[in-house]
Amino acid sequence: MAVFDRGYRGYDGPLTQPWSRFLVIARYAVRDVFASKVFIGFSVLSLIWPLALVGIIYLKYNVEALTILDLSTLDLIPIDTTFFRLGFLRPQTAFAFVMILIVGPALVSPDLRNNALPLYLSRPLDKSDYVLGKLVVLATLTSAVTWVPGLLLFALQSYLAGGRWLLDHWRIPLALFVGSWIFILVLSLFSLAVSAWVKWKPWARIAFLGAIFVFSAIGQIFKLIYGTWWGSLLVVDDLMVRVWDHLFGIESSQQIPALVAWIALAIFGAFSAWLLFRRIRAFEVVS
Amino acid sequence: MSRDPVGASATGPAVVEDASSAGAAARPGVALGPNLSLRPNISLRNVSKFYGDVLGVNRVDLEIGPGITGLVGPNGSGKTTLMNLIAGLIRPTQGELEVLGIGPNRPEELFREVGYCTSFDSFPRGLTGRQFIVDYLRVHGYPRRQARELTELALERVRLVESADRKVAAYSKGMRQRIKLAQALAHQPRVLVLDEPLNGLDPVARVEILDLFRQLATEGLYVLISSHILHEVDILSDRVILISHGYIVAEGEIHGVRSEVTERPMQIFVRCDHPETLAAAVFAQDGASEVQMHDDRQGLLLRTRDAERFFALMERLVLEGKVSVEAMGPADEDVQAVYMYLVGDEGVA
Amino acid sequence: MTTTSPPESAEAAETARSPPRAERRAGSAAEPAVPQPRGETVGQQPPVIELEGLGIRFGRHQVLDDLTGRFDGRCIGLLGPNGAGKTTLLHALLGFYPPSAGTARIFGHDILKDSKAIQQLIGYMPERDAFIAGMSGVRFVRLMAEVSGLPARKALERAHEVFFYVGLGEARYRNLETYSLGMKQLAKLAQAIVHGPRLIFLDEPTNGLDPPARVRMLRLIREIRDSGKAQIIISSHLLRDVEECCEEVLILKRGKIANYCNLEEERRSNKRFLEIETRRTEAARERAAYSEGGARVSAQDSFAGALRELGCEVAVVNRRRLKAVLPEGVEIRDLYQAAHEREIQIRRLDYKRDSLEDIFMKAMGTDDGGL
Repeated sequence: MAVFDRGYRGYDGPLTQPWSRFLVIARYAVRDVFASKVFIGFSVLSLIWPLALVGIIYLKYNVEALTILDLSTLDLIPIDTTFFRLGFLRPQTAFAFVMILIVGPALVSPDLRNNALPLYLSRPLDKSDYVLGKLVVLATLTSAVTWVPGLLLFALQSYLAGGRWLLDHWRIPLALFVGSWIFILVLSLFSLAVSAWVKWKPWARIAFLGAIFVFSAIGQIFKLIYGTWWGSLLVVDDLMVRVWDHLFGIESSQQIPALVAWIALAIFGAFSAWLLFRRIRAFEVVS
Repeated sequence: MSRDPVGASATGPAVVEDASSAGAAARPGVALGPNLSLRPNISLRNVSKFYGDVLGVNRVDLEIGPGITGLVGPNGSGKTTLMNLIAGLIRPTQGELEVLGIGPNRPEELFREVGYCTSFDSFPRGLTGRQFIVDYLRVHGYPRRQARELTELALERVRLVESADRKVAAYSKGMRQRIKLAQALAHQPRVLVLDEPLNGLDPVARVEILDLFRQLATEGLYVLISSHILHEVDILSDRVILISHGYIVAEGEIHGVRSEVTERPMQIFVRCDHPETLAAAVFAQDGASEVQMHDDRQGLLLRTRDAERFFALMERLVLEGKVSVEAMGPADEDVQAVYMYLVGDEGVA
Repeated sequence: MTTTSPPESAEAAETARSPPRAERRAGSAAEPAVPQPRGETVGQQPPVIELEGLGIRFGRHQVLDDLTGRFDGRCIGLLGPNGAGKTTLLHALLGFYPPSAGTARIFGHDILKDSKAIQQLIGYMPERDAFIAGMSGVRFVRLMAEVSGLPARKALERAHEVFFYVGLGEARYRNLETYSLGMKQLAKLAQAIVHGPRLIFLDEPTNGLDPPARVRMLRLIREIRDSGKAQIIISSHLLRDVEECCEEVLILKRGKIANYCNLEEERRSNKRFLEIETRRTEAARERAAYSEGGARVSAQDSFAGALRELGCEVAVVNRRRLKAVLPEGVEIRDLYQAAHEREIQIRRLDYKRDSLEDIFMKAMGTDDGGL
């Protein structure tokens, strides 16, 4: 028989790869996110519209089904750039926005509220690892309702419509991919920044929404009064729409030049990132 | 309770068997000191405080006199409740409470006499240290000029004059502690209730503030200090109150308390060169129940019900040259040991 | 100043038992399991901390100035008044910001170039509250273990283990925000040791703990120290706590090193410094009961006077205690003689237990009269 030593033990076992540490952050955050049944429900809801679009595409190429259902009018809906740009990307990014609204502001504030950052940063984890881990959560969730179903939809359409159609509309998948990612990155960074500056979850969400709405409202008023596009600089929605239109190669309803919109979004993203990194600190600076 | 018949200290309990003042001693809430003057105390009689169903303190009977009284007990034992009661912030659910003769139904007078330094660490935003104290004194009703003078005095006492014009939000923990003390002292109260006043102070500051408390005690203030650092309580306090689960478990001078815990014979350690001689002599004498030899055979640990006789024996052996002692003393006569016996390891989880 | 660290034999035995490198997950690079400290020769460990002119500057404020030294020891106390730079030094060693001048090494790794390797080897228990609300204790510590690089399953095992080790076994499934202050402190300690670091920084570990919790915390610290598996650095204002656990102390003052000394040696040279506790004999007390209370004080005073006559330096602490320094030629027997003559009973006779306080005060430049 042996009596086992219950004293302090060191650890000499294997370690995970340093580059993969950010995934730990992501994993734990995702588990917290999916603990909410409301969120699961919402995610499922976000995929209903793409499913409906699958149905439309399928029906378009399935004349038998059409005649059976007596839905010849559907034949008239062209599956083209507009279809993807307005019929798909627009609504799906709206769902993505709500996801970011729900998830984003709760990601960083629990860590900051009770001073857990020094515990993270005293470990082999950079600030960038930390931010990357949180971003990955938002990116994964939103990708699953934007470009991923978007590309699948395009693939389905290409398969059914043939190679000619595919070559004619090569811009669409690119636009879906890049457009989604711009949206995801900029808004995720902003929501994380808000989460870092506002410590209480409900207030963080309100702050996120509030900031976007207030600036948008000011921008719209500006546009109305002065009749120029300068106000659009404050309206995130306008900037996104302009950038998407540019990607899809269609004429835009927004007057702001494409280049200006791109730069404005880049600045917005960079500014959010800067705000975020300022708060990810292991210690407090007291002046 | 310490029943030291010799008018003992200025901090003795109310009931004193002092022959020359038998008549006056019958009046409750009054302590008699060496100069036989009547001085009101802080007295609690059968005080209980419940927050709905939750117990704060239960059936507390205390007389606290001038000088330094230590208040010791685990977290959640009712210390804060007791201090809030004495400071007049809450009223007892039951029982009578009087601070220097003032009851809780006269709060204005009560607050004038009591200064409270809490353990909480929040301050109004945007104020400097000096502003904080001046504003506080203005709330007390002092005119502006007098408030400023009193502020200077208070800041000097806690040694915070240089930093008084910086914002409190920028203070280090130790400085915040000092400004809290300054606030408690500023209106020159006669009673000070201090909740962990040394928390966060570096060793130099601790010594300074401990000296300040001693100074205040000699000036006749009633200082009630709650602390977890038992050896400081030991050195500083004249009397100690032990509280646990809302009940007062013991109070009085620590040696008196210890000697009353008779279920546990006193434990004494001795480092000497002939422990076996000492051990034999101890066993020959009555009263010792246990003697343990130290591993290195250069000392022993013993238990005895009659410490007095043991120390006398020790003296005899040393003077006769039979034993050469290096160190010796009670192993458990301090606040720490009494705490462990009476309050125990209620611990953490 | 430097002392050799304990032999690594215990650790060598454990390494022999851990899985050989070939068995690790496929696709992982050939990286050692735990970063090894660099030493000049195989088997010789570099000291825990080496400072070379380390300086830290915030704006115009020079917080740490030219700190140099090699420190090694099972448990080192880090002391200093507020504003001396203790926290800044800790933060710099933890890699929170780069030095503005000079450099420092922990186990041979440079804090600037090799900070990841250092962070692998250290554990940190901050002074302030540090936890994540909404998580159970075990989940929190498990997260921290995984961030430190432990594989998920091992992290879970160790998280449970460490909770039992610190004494929070019963509470490990409860959410952290429901923990009492003492429990939060222990949870902080748990996350600091879960990944088996070789150097643990504890910042005010007994802060706010009630006496039994404090005793338990100090006991845990001593156990970890004695296990030989980790070295500890404690920063605290409570000199008694530091004295109980640490063998060496580093004292900072205004950003510079005021002193670095070994407590054992100090204690050994302290045999002539005594603390004496007295009380009048029973006979004397009974006699005095029928007279004024003033007599008691003067009996103590006359004893003190007798000691001074013998040539001792005496300082009276309070009614019952005094401190004395015995000069050459005066023995303890002489003290007993003097006491006997004045009907004083010696109840305690001990070497100074607060040598650290004296060392600290001297380093600060304050003088309390030598005693």
